[in-house]
Amino acid sequence: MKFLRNGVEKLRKLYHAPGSRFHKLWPAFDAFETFLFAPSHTAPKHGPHVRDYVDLKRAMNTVIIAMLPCLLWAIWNTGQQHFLAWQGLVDAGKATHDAYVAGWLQSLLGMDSVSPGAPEYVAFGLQRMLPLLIVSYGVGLGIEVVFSILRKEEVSEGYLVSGMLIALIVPASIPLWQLAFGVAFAVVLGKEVFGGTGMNVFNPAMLVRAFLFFAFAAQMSGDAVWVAGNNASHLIDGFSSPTPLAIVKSNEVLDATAELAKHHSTADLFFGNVSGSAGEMSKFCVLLGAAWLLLSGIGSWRTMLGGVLGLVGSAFLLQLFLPAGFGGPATLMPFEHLLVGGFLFGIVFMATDPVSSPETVTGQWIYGALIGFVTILVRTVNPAYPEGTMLSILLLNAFAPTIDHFVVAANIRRRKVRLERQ
Amino acid sequence: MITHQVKRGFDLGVAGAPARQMVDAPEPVVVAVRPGDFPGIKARLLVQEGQTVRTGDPLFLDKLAPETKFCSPATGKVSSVVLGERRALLRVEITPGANDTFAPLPHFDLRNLSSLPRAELVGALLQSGLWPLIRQRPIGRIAGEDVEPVAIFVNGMDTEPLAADPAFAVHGRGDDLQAGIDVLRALTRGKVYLTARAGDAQREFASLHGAEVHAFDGPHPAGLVGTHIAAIRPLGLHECAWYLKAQECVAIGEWARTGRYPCKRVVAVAGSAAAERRYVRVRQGAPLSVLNAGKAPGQGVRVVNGTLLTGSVEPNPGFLGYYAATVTMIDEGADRRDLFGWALPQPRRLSFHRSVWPFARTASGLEVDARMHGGHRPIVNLGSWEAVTPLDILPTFLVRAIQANDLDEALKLGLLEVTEEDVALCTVVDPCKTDVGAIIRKGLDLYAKEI
Repeated sequence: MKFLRNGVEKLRKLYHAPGSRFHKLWPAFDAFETFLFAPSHTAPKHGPHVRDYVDLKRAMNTVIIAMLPCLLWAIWNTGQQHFLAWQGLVDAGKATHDAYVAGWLQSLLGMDSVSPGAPEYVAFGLQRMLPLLIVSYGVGLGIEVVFSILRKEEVSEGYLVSGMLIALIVPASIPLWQLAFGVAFAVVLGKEVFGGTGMNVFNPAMLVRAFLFFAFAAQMSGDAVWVAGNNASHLIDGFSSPTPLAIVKSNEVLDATAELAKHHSTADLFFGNVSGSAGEMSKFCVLLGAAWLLLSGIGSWRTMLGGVLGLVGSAFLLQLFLPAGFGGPATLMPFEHLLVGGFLFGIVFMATDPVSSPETVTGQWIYGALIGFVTILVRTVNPAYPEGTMLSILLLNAFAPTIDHFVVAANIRRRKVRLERQ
Repeated sequence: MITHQVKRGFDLGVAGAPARQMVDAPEPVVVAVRPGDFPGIKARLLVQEGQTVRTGDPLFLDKLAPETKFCSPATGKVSSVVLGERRALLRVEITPGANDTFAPLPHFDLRNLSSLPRAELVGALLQSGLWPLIRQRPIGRIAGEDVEPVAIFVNGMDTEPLAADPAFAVHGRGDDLQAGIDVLRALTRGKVYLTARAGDAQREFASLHGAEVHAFDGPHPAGLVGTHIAAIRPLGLHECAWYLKAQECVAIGEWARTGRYPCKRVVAVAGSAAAERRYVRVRQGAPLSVLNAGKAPGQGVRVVNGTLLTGSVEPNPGFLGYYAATVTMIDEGADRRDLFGWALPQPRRLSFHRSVWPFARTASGLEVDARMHGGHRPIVNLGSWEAVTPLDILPTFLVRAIQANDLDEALKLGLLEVTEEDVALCTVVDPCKTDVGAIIRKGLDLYAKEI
């Protein structure tokens, strides 16, 4: 530790003082230094003389810890789904183990596709997830550091969470150049033009997904993209599998619960033995993360609970007024809407983003409930998109200041009444 | 008696509370009176170096309110007049002689208070240098003499970390306290309120009459006058209330009973870097070494005139501040750097956030220093400001309105219900290290300039 500290002090001489050699780049150095050692500057002369041990680094790190179960499951399940799909093709006589092409990490480790087990799953998962993380963090943090240097202010930690989220909400098969494009778009136009962390209107990670969804629809939607492979587009030739929501999307499906049960058991849906975007499949892992966020007090329980009640409640109410012959996801049992799609992940990790959600506690209830409501509307009433979480969170991000406005107006009205009583 | 329960708030479990033991400090060799202790005034010097002054003789006045005098707490020679930049008065130092000679101050019979014209009483307080003890809400500065308050609040409790307990500081001074309340009652047609901890309200303050006693229970800021006003008598537009601490009320009572300038104060010496932690009866404006067993505080120690939440740093060697009922000494900590401070769980650190340690909020006996523990960031609202603010205000929106220089909106959001002390906890618990109090003061200054 002494050695580290001396190293940091030496480094500090290179950039800290104005006029020193690398002073123009100080935000980049400072980010590295404060990653190692907490800063030692002390409180000003007036006002509180002691400060909470928490800082934004810790707050953001807490969210990253909450996402770790999802990340670990993403690594495992990306591999598991890949080999299940391959075995399915082999069993159907459409492929042979001899024809299996291994990826870079599999080749390095000398792995093949015959009787894959845990090591093979993890190796394949890492082979896809590591590049996603590296591109997401590399591009995003790179842009953040450049903007910090231009603005001459410390690098903010907001992107540490966004970077991980982005890797978890795209299909593991996404081409890396598309991901890089999406990240650059969202960080520059969704965040930095507004002034950086704390100033953005939309959740940056969700913006990446929306950008990719509309710009590269072929790689972000349909039945083929949810299981990663090793061909040129990171897919398995000739394999496709619809997501649970896509299975029940057709209006001809009059009993969605039964239709879903033909493909997936409730346990598989809950624990995440299904294909989908990289990190959102396992509701169990999402709930582990939610528990940690609530325990640490970083995530708003009002948004989460409001969202779940809004989703289940809207689905329930919708069923009461369903016209005869109306099929599709509307016929799912209300709680099943939590088990399919990315809603749970979205409401736990993305809707609770403190910057793009309402700041009043009443506002958070309304915001959460409306996200649930709009998600159900997109899922059931609109004929095109099977999933509505992304669009409903982005829509409510846009309305968050409006919701706050009405809650603040109520506070002002209350004050006026109170003062006029005197 | 009415008891108010304050739910939202946070008690900082800091180590170094003063022992409940009262001693007399030795007489100081020099005392200082400083305009800097009274924010918002412009001082005009009334004495010269070498001049002899009596206890209670005016030393300077406020150019903006020339009736307000600031008096000498000792009898002796003006040994030095220290001027700062642009010849602004920094302090008047007096070398006390052996005995106090008291300046003849305006005096009246306590029994005839009700027949005394209010203006005469106000004039007497101004002339006697006691007026600065009375402060007003909104804005939180020395009371304006030309406005009648709708209520006067005497604060018999203090929930700030390591703060002197007013009930203990005024113990045995019941007559002076009563006389003080009688004087205050003659200053308003509204009520005089005395606020206290539930237990003290029934013990120490039980025999008082003329003041309506309210008890407050709960974590800090349950003991702040802002909390009390909001709970007891919210202020309407263009209304103001006056407030003072119980000990300051005792000082007024002492003056009313004896006709002498009250030159002694009880101060709690607290904080883990203090040599002896206890209550000290000391002359106003004494050097701080008098409180620290005769020694100047050590290197690397932050000496705070006041509490850890609302005091100001006193340069070393320094003097006791005019309003300070507590002097807190903690380590500065500027040479300490924690490896991976942002990542490791910290069971023995001051924190409101369970991400630092799940049981952090209930910890006590914590060693603290003055470090910020993080870099300054744009506001990211994790709800902690609201969680420590019992007032019906929205601190984040209020701060944003002030930052945008939108005074109208800030007033609508309750700017006048707070001063920096009411939002001190927000500053403490903020992960983004925003100085909320400084922003609130900026808003109040803006307001004061506009009216």
